[in-house]
Parts: sequence; C-alpha cells; structure tokens
Amino acid sequence: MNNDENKLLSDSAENDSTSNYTNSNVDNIPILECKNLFKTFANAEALKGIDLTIKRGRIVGLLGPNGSGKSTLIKLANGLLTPSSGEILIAGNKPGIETKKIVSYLPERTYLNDWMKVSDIINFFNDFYDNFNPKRAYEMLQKLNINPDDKLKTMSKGTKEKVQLILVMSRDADLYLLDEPIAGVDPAARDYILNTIITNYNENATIIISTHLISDIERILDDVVFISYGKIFLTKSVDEIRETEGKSVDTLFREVFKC
Amino acid sequence: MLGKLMKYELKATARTLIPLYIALLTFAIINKIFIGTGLANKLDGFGSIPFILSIFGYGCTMAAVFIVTFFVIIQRFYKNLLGDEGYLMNTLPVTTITNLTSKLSIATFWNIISGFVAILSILIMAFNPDAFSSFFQDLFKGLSEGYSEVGIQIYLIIIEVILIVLIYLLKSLTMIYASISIGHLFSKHRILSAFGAFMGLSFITGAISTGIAIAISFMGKNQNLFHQHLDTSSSMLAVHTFLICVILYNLVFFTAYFMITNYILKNKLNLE
Amino acid sequence: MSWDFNDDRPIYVQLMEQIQLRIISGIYNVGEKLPSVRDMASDASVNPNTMQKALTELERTGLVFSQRTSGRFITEDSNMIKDIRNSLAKEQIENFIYSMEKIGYTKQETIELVENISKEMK
Repeated sequence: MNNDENKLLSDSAENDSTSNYTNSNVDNIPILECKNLFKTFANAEALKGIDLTIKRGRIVGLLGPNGSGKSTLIKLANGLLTPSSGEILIAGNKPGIETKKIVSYLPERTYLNDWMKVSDIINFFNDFYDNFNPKRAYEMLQKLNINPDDKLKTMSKGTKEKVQLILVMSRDADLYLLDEPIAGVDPAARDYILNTIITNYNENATIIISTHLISDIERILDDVVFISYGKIFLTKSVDEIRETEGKSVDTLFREVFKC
Repeated sequence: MLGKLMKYELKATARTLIPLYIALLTFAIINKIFIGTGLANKLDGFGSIPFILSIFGYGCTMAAVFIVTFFVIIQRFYKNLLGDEGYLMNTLPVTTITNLTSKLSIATFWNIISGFVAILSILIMAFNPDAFSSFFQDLFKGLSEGYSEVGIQIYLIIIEVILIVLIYLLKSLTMIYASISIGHLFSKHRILSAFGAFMGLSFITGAISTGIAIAISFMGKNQNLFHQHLDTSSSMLAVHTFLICVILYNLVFFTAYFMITNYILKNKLNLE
Repeated sequence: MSWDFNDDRPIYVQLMEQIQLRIISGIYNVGEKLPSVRDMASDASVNPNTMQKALTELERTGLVFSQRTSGRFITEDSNMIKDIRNSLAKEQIENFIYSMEKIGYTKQETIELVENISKEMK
C-alpha cells in the first residue's frame, strides 16, 4: 500500500470479449486523460500532478476521503474549473463545447430550478443536448413512480436526486461523471440506480463514479482509482485487487485510509 | 443555442414580472376610474379610503416594478450562473459569451418593457382626450420645426439619443454583472465583495469620465473649438460628434465590463 | 437461486462457479440459449465486463459455447455436465467427511448419522 502508481489502467476485458467493439479509431483515444494535472486554489493545492488514463467501456470508481480532490478532478473534466497547469483531455479534446456535448454530469447538488415541472426540465435537456433520449427518461420516471407533471419544488430531496440521475442517464453520452449518485437515496432506489447503470452500459462509453459507499457499488466496477491529498494513490482493476490482496476493495480502502 | 437560452431566461423571469406589470396597469385603471368619474371628489371621509388605498397601491406597485426588475436581473445572474443552477448552466454545450448574452439581452428587454409599462400607466391615469391631442400636435409641430431647421438630421439625432440610452443601459447591466463576477472571485463574503466591486467600478468610471471632461474643457479653452462654429451645419456636426462620442465612450466601458465578466466566468469559475 | 458473492475473490471467478452451478442443477438446461450478457449482468448486479469475462472463461472450459450471430449456448454434451456434477459432489462429500473427522466422527459413524438425520429431514 504504497507508492504512487500512475499507470495505465489495464484494459483486460478488451482481450477477452467477443467483439462488440466498433471498429473506429475512436476507441484508441482514451476517453479521459490527465497529464501532470495541477489545480491550486487560493488556500490549497487540490490536485498535485495527476497522471491518469481511462479508456472507453469501463465503469470506474473514483475513491478517496473528503478533500482528496475527487470533486476537483470531476469539475476539471466537465469544464467547471480550469487547470492551474498540466492538461486534461476528454476524448483528446480540451474541455469546451465539444466535450460538454459528450459528457453527462451528475453533481452532488440539486441543480434544477424549482419552478419547473419535471416535463419542463425534460424539454430543457432535449433542447440543449442532441443525445438526450426523452423516451428513456419517461420510462425511468414511471418505474420510480414520479409524475412528470409534478413541480420540482413539491418534491423531496431524494426524489429530486432521482430525477437528476434519470436526466443524466437518459443521455447517450461518451463519459458519465456521477458524483455520489446513491448517497441520499433509499436502498430500493439504490438497487434500481445501480441496475440502470448496468443496463445503460455500452462499450463506447465510460462511467466514472465518485463515492464513499464502496461496498454497494464494488460489484459493478471494472476499475478503481484511489485518490488521496490530490495525488493518485493507486489504479487497479477490482479483480486484480481481489486476486493480489485477497480482500475486497471496500476492505482495502478502509485499511489504506484508516483515520 | 442563444435563442433557446433566451427562451428559458424569458420564461423564468416572466412569471415574476408580468403579474407585477399587470398589477400596475390595473391600479392605473382603477385610479383612472376614480378620477375620471369624479368619484374622487365626491367621496368624503371613509368613502375616500378606497381611493387612497388605490393611489397607495399604485405608488407601491410602481416602486416595486423597478425594484423587482432590478432584483430579478441580479438574481438571475447570481443564482442561475453562480449558484447551484450553475452546475447545469455552465456544463451546457454553450460558450460563456452565449450564456452572458442571453442574460444581458433579456435583462435589457425587461428594463425597456418596465419603462414602457410605467409610462403607459401614467398615460392611462392622465388620459384626457384634449391634452392628448394637443400633446401630439405640439410633438409634430416641434418635429417639423426641427426638420425645417436641420433637415433629416433631426431623426438622426433622435436615433442617436435612443442609442445612447440603450448603450447606457447595457453598460450599467454589464457593470453589475462584472461586480457580481468579481465578488465571486472571493471565497468568503461574496455578496459584500460584489458591492465593493460595484463601488470600485463606479468610482473608476466616474474618475475617468471626470478626467476626460476636464481634459476636453482644457482643450476647448485653449483652442476655442466651440466658439468657432456658429453656423448651423457645423454645429450640427459638433452635435453629432458629441453624441457619437458619448455612444463610443459608453461602448468602450460596456465592452470592458463584458470582457471582465466573460473572463471570470470562463476561467475563474468556482462553484461551491 | 440468488447470486452470492464474497469479498476476497474476484467476482468473475465466483460468477463462473455460480453459472456452472446453475448449469449442473438444471436451471440452465442442456443446449439452452443463455440470456444476453447485459441481462445476466443486470440480474446478478455486476459489471457487464465482469460477466463477459466469466462467460469467456467458461467457453474455454467447453461448458458454454458461442455462435457468432446467435449468442451463447450451454453445451449439448450432457456427459460433461454429469461429470462436473459428480466431481463437485465428490468434493463436497470429501470435505464433509474431513470436517466430521475433525469433530471426532469416524467415517462409519458419519454415514450412519447422515442416514438418520436425512430420515428426519423432510
């Protein structure tokens, strides 16, 4: 439990799977790449030289204690922050309009304006994102018993979070950035959300989940990235960790980040 | 994309402002009824209370129209771009300039509308067929006199004045936006810093304006610029030059404030 | 049958075992077409890549085979299945007898105990 492993996440699945990959060169460009990425704020260095490469078709867990730089990294990826130095690239491009089209972001906060109805916000997303699928959104709303004609301000926080998640997963994005997607949600909905992530999975897209609730999501992760004090601590696949350490990612995390 | 942003901006703000405008016009009409039918004069004591209330209501609503319009504009910028909603707005596939332009254009729109509604409400209350027609008569008389003196240029001057009002409006709005953005740069006491920035920018603008005014008056004194041109055509040129300089002057400030705001939103954004 | 995973071994290995179990016990029949990777992953609440890996490994053992356009199928070879079932059973029984020996029962005592208790069981 050791050194800074800034290596490429091994994409072992690529060798085994029977061929659902498209043939385009697009697959060879990592969906997310950080090169010596630094982000400094007035009072703190949030990220100190991050090197990371994540390929398409992976479900990745971004794990670390509070203040480790998880949120900062995610905000850099969706253009809400600009790097102090170094580079961050989405499918080879710097964050901008082109990357925002293919990145679907779920923040920890509620970002919906209260006066709208659910159907209004669906129209909003449909207006601005070409790859938004309203039909999928309405199906998911129905499964979770949310009435599209309800106004957002009449909903509980948990329901609003579900709506946000549905909106985010209804986009056919290339990169999904989910910041604590299951934290404020009841266990039944949690299962539904994890299930949604699995069934929406496609080999062309990558999902990065930043969370504390590791044991719940460990089974759906391909790879994990441990981040601590602004540096990458390790990047490994879940299988590798279980094989080499003989313990679950959750257990390893607790050991590594013991207070 | 800009059109879509403007559409949503309009929807979000209309819900608050339109009822207010309607209320203002309603009060105006009620007051008109009181005045026009002479009820105001006839009712005494308790009977006059409804009228007084109505006038009071009108006054409050008029004040509210301007205050609320002002607050809505600030709040839309502050909450929608720099608050929690900023997580949505700033990750849309649009440039910061587009976002800014949509806010600015709708804010300008409501400012103009509120001005019109205010004037309309006054007209309603003061409506008097005779006064009206004599007003228009005087207006046309003034215009044609102006036309006979300086020709088509009278309309040009009117356009220039309208442009001045417009550019001044834009400048003020962008100055407010720039102040809020500068306030955003601080991690604590953002609202206080925004006020401070506003004071600071006002001061700077005032200082530069005063400085230029003093410089011009010196130049003028030394060169007798203004005393030389007494005949109509070159004094018209002076007037045009003056007006256009005012437009350009405000345009420069507008551009500066716009660029400051854009730079901060694009590169220094730091949502909580 | 539900999917049970423990923490210390890779999930794809555990998936392989549990899919094998389902094949042997007849939940998946001989020659039957398996659901899609995505459906199976969703059912087991695991990452589709992990399910894919498990199935690919199973293909190597021959228990499962895939046809390019039609998907994955359980082998037709019921003898292979029977052999696997038998060897699993043997393993279980051997482990059981060793465990009983640790507690202190001889093999004969264990067998008698098994007979008596299974008569009591429904």
